[in-house]
Amino acid sequence: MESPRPPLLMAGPLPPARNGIADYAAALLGALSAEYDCFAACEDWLAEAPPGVRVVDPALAHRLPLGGRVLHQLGNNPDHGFVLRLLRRLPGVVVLHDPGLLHLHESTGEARETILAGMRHAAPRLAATYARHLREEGFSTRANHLLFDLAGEVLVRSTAVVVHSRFAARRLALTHGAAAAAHVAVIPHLLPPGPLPDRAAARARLGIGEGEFLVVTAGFAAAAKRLDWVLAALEGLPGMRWIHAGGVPPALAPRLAGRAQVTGHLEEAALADHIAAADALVNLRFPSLGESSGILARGLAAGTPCLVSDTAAYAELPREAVLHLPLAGGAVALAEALAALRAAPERRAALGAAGRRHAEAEMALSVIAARYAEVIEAARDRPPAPPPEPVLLRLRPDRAGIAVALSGRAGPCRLLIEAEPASLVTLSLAPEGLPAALLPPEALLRAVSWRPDGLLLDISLPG
Amino acid sequence: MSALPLLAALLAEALPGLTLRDWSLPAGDLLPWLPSVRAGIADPAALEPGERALLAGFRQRGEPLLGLDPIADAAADPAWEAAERLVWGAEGEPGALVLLRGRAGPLPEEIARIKLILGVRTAPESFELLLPAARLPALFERLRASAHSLAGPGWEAGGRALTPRLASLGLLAPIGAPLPVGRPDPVGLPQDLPEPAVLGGQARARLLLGALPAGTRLRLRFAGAEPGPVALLLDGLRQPTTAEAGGWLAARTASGSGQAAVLGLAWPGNAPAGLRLASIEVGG
Repeated sequence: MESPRPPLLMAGPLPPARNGIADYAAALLGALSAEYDCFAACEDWLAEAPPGVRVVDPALAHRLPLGGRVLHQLGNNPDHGFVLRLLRRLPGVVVLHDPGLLHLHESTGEARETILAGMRHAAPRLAATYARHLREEGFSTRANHLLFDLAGEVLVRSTAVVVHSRFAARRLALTHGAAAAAHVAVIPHLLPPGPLPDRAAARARLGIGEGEFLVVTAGFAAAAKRLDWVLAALEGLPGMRWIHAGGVPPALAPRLAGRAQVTGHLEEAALADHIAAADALVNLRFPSLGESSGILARGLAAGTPCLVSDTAAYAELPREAVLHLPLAGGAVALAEALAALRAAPERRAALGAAGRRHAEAEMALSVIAARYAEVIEAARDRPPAPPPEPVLLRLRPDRAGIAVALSGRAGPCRLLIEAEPASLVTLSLAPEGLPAALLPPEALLRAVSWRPDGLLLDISLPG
Repeated sequence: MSALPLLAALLAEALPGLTLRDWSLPAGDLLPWLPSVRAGIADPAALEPGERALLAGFRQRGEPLLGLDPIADAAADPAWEAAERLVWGAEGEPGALVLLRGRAGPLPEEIARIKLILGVRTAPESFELLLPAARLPALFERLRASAHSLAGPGWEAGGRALTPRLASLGLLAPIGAPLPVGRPDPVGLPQDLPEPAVLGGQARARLLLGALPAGTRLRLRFAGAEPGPVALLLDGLRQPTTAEAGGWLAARTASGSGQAAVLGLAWPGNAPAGLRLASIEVGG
């Protein structure tokens, strides 16, 4: 029998991928299944989709009769390379979990020209100087990840973009222009389905003593999560127990070894136990591009007191729902806050309760799924903006003249070489071939086609 | 039921050593039914981006599908040097016979046509084979003999040469008669494996089977190792499978979209070392 629900394709990683966005996607898919006949395009064809959701090979997703309902989950790591490639063939709504995307591009083999073009698009003046290392030496600096977001292509190719904070939406508008970001909607992060474990039961399972003060950090310990600050803060608080419920990069592991218990990646139930058992969930970010945190959502849902950096998306959380730590304070501010919380159980309880109230009001799965449905339906008939046409230059088949015309230009460019076929045949017989006979050496020839009025060359110029 | 399995069987019987270029992708009409088909796209510009990206990911004996890469298309193809060459889904190539569905328009003097009426008696399908007029008598006789050879009890087979440039041949099966099974060569099919049909060490593989009607039976047999917990996908979606006698793994196509069916195989982790795809059967 035909399903009465309209079809929806969601593209993104799913469990067992060790990726917070995989958990997010699975939770959202489960909720959207009430409204839609959901398919999940996943690079892992054997991924764990919620009941009733069929996993589809992304290479064949375009064959599904989707009626314009496509939702891409995009994060800034290589697990999302297939999502970016699918977006290029199958436009739809994009959930931009992290407006960065430079790491995604670098780690999935995107062409250097594409990355440089994205940098120019994001910040043309900055790109002239700060993209130099990549352009001339072939390496990228850490600063690039803050300076350039590479979300321009996503804005162009999507029918709508969802971010989890006003900060992220504003940043996109300021970087790419209000018109380019006009289709950006803010939907808060969601709460995981089902209740978080009871605190006492979770502490019992983990062997946490009644009088112990447990500090938990969680997730993969990227540098921006500032475990260095946590380490420094807890050096002065020897009575507190610290568990990092997640993985850490190899370089950081020896530094943490003497102070923190590092669990490595945890399955969902164990992760929830750690978060529910905590007296304080420390979820710092600096620098932040506006990314969101599933760990924080779990902490709020569990009623665990949460400490966050007073920056980016975290600064938007109600002051009574989380404890904001000033960026300038670093480890000292964190140490003071933790000490104060340890000394005031009633303050911890109030903070946790307020956090849970906020989460249940704003981040409940059913509420979030309904908002997604609104965005998906509104975007159905909205075509993505057409990609900008490259500049077309009409030129004679004269290498010196072409070099002058291309001087100072950068990025994609289209040349129409107006000449009789016979003269082009002669050029093509040059020992070094037609491209070298016509183009300066820095030009990369991408495509050639013949038109009645001449030879059309699609090229890419550095810079 | 499609008449294509019957058409393929007739051609294979009448023209041993036949090499065929099937330009009908994204459908791939004859790909599943003959073992030596080179697949191509007659109008790549008409492909929608997703289908183009999908087809561009396949290699057939190490080469891209015809029509997607002009440089590769222009390279010598030893298989296309065969004595008997046939083109389906395109206007034709020098020295090759042309096969088409329906009726060709007016033909030059030197070209003849053999009308083929094939399929189930209640739903016959019409094809035309275009060939040099000088070859018509001999080729028609071979086709007629092959039709009689393929026909079972209750079938209708026969035809006649009407003029030096026109002949007609019919091969019609009664309803419910078993039709020929297609046995495409796992090594020769378009696929995305680094080494054709070699699955060992791969997490997943795609093979382009060609156009298959809804409900078509598909059977696979592996060699070199036990296949282990293999998942079978058709057109990107996992399908239930059954194990059959003789080591076959069987499934059925869910929908006949008119686009070439894509067989996917996946393993948790990787396929066992040494595993390869030995046989494919479609239909029956």
